[in-house]
Amino acid sequence: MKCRKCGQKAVINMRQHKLALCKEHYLEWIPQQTQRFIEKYRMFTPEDRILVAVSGGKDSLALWDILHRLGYQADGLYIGLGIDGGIGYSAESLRCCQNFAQQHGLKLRVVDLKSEFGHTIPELAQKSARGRGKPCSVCGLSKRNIMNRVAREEGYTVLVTGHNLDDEAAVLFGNTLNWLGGYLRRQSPVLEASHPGLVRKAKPLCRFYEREMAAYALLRGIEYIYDECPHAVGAKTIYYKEVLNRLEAERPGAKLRFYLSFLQAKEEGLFAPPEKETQELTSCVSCGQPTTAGELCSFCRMVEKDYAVSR
Amino acid sequence: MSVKIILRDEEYEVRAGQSVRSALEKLQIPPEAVLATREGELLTDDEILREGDVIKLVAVISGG
Repeated sequence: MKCRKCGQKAVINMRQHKLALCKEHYLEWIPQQTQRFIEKYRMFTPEDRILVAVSGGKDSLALWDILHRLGYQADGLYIGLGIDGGIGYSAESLRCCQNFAQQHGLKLRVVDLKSEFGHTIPELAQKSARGRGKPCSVCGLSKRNIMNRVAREEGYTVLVTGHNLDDEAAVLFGNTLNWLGGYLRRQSPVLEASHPGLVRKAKPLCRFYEREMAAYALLRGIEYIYDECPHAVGAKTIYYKEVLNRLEAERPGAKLRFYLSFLQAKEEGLFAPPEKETQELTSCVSCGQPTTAGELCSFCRMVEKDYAVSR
Repeated sequence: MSVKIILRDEEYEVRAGQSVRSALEKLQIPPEAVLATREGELLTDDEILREGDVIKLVAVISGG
């Protein structure tokens, strides 16, 4: 198969776009398309101070690389979750992030959950009712809190994550199967700051297939953690991705159409919010972050010993 | 001699002369879920496998 731009041997064929590219043109195409999505969805501008949430995986490090190449002011945030799983998962993912930052002369902010809040994710999952048997829920809550907190306290104007189209389509699939209207209304390439304590969020990779991001990381020579998080084994998201990939194999472009037609339908008002949709947000008395959970936000309630279920 | 395909800790043998996509389908590995590499080079799905090839597959799905 030949590159559509130069006729050299292609390294990737994107069947949904009927587009095959060689290494050189693929490494040009991905940042160009990212810039197009940033502008199309009005994600941010070169004046913004961007915080990139990096996990050491292919997507977030590829995103950091792309934003850096596009000339954005983007610092990294790594959250040490204290997950070992017999493979030193967190240690290895931190090493990949630190290597990347050092090689590119970029600033990496590291927050270690155990040092700053007293518990690792596996410990919190054991202790709290929320985490019983499902560390992913505890992990998501912790990451959302810390990402917003760091972005807000350190003056970043936008927080970006490496969610790709497969991530978005899998979440959309799950929310559609269960008709979770509230989540469907909120799913978007950009999440506006709906409260002064919340930082605007954006997902610049939301239109790239996961396979394309892995190809970008490999071709660019980005060292990323190849192992899956040990707690993600059997996760529903992975199952939904597999189902969608079976569909994609038969119908190239099915995942992309599913996501884009959802965004289009949303824009046309299919998921118009009910009249009284928004819940009252208050500030958490401990960390000051916006919450609907009462005096203490869910994260502070979870990490504070008195509130944890330890018996 | 045939073609060796490696995915994580698993090794498979397939016959040469078929495309990457055809081999993956026979092994019931969804082509969308992996990238095929030969000697570190990425391969498109229509690449024909040659006798003695060692194809390493990079799993691309993550989640949780």
